[in-house]
Amino acid sequence: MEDRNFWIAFNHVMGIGPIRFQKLLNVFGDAKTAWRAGVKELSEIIGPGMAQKVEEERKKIEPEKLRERIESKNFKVLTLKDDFYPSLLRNISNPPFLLYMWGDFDFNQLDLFISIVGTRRPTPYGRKIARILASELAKDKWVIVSGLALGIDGEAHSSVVREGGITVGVLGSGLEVIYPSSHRRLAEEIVDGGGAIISEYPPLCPPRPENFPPRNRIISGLTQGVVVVEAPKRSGALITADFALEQGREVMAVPGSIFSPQSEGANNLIAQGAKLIQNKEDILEALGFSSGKAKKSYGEDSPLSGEKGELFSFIDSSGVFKEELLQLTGWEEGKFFRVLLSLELQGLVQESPGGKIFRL
Amino acid sequence: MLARVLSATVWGVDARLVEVEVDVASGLPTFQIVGLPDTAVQEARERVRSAIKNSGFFFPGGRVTVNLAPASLKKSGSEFDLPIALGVLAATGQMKFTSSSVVAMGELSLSGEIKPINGALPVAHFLSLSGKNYRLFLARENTKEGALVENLEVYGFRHLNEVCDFLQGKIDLSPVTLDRESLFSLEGVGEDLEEVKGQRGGKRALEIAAAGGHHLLLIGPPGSGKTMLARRLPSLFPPLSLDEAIEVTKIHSVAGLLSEKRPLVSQRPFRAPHHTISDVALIGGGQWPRPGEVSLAHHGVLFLDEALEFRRNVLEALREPLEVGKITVARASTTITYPASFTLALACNPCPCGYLGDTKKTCTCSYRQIARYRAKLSGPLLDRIDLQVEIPRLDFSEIASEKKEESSQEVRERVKRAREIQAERFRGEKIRLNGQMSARYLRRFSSLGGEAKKLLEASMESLALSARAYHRILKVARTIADLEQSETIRVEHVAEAIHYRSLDRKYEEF
Repeated sequence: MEDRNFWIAFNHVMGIGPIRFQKLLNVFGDAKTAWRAGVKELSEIIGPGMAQKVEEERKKIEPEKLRERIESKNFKVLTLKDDFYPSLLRNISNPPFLLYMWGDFDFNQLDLFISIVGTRRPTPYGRKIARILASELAKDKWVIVSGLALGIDGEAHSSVVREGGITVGVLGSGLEVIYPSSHRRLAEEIVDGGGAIISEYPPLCPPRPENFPPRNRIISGLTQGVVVVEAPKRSGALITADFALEQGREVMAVPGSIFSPQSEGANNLIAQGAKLIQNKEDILEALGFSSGKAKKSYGEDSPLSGEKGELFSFIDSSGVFKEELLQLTGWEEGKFFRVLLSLELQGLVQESPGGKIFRL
Repeated sequence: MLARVLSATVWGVDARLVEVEVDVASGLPTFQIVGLPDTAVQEARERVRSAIKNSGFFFPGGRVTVNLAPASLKKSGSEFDLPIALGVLAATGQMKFTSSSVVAMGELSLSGEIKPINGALPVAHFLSLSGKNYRLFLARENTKEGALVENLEVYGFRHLNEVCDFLQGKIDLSPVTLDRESLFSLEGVGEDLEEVKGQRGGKRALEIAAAGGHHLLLIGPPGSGKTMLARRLPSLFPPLSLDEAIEVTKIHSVAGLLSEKRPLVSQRPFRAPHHTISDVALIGGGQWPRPGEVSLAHHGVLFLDEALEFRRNVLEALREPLEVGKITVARASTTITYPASFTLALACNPCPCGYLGDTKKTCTCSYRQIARYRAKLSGPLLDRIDLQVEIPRLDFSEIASEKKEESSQEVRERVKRAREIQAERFRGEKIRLNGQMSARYLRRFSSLGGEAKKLLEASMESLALSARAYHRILKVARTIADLEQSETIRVEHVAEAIHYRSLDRKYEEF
């Protein structure tokens, strides 16, 4: 289909999004005609400024070359017209007219999609939740969609990869500009594991801040529901939750301590009616898959007794300073550090930079 | 006619005798000073000429030649004014002067008044050790400093006339005497640990640092009390002995930091240079080498706040004194060694924004930024820091608590006992404190029992501690055991020591 080249060409013009592109298609019928239309005609549809921009860009862009380059990188192009365009995404109000995909994955072969999102600066508690939920859902053959960001996103992706499951990362930059660059390796692992990295931005597009909110609509749009694991008051994860609500997807959130700023946003979501998630079964139930199996409870009583149990009872998931613990226990240093170290070595608590101890 | 007067000049923290020869001959009026004088010495000509005239004497009209011997020694400063003036007066017969026991030092004002000079104590100390019965003539302001040493007669004068009258026997003065013991206890103990509320972890680290001679790093947000804690570190050390005090005072004397009110540095010094300091100001130097902050902190504490803000070469320059306890400054003119044995206390923010570990403000740094920042902290200098302590910023309720805090005195007792144990342990060795132990000493004196060893190895692995942390932990564990007067290093001691290596830990990769 020769017209694809022109879809790609339009995608490379900054400012041409799904809405403007749809207007052009409505008037000209196909992208090729629109690409070759006069400035005057264009400006009647998309305004003079935008038309001028198209005029400038098309002097530089050779549609055929663009496609060749993308193919040489082994990226695929999914347009709204294609059968293999993700069907869930097609149903949102402004689906991207074109997606670039790295990886060998067919969205429409599978039907269980869920996204796990959260803060880029999680506490060990949030990390642990992301790890547990992502790997358990992956075991049940769910495809986990997230944003490949640092923190919760990365934790969810890498847990799925470890589990041998399939996961999809949606970028706010081009496929050749993996952001953050430290996740380049993770991206490769995702692709090798049968998952995909996708983006609606041209392959060389840098990670512009304004790209990320629209990117979030794709994350929620690709899935049946969004699980927010740890999000502070202002967090991209909350934008994703808003899109999910708009798109009629299930919004779920894992609660956290009221003393933890990292959980404030997630707790607010629950207050506004999001499903409260305590385990994988809660997620399945919210999405209408009642397994009938007993729900797993992570809040089991501490198996610790004696001095270890005493110290452990003062430590919570939002972190306590060593200084405070010394006071709370009233122990002398020798005993305190001996017991604390043994809890650390058992993997029950963890120290973070800054001198806080977190329960894991 | 020729006259000879003795004087002295400071050399490092030591001194050398200088013979001032003055010859007055007939001829065209000139006034020459020879014998490697620097500009300040050359200016003595103008001061001496005016001072002599304004004191009611006459200045000779012929050729005046002053020689400062030995001629090979470079001389600087204004301390030769007084001996030159005395020489001129003697050479012109205006005053009888034949004594070979008088050593005179002092700057003259144009009116003939005698002004204080730097380095009176090193000179006095040098003279008292020479075994000869010298009499040291100083400005009145310098006399207390000079009288600190025993076996030396020190006289203080206000005016050139007074010196002449005394030498002619017209007035009678007795040498200045000083009650050194009372002077020694003159200064207050300084800031006390009991003024710091809470901060148990920080205080404990100070105690360990003082007991074992460990250098330490305090990591905490602004306002958490790092400086407040560090300022109290000197008060936890055993008091200076008189010999140590004289040693410290000599350095301060050379740097001109003594006053008549405070002639003896009897407290351990606490030096906190600003982070814009140059390497020369820190380690000492200059064309005429002067002691730097590292030497002024000798037997005390050198505190570098905002340690990361110091220029890299400045921090690097600390390595030699940390290693050998002294600093050698080489210049074209001379090479001088100053003592520089101090406890280093560094302080820095926990993260680039500074608010990690603050209970009131939230930190805005990403984990990557924090990791990069902390990596910057480690390095060759940090290799010599045994204790790394995180100081959180506390709530006000905690600060206001009425609980009585332990005083420096109480902590000092424990430190003293721990130091006694170490003195016993290192008898006949080259080191005195646990902090100075090398790997060889660690094997001999700091081996771990079965359980403690197992714990350390398990921790090294599961906390991903770096290899260099291993020896540091052993050293600190030894000191903690000594504080508890325990011969063996137990599990508790190792567990606590591990917690003072927060920068060596690999935190989860984010």
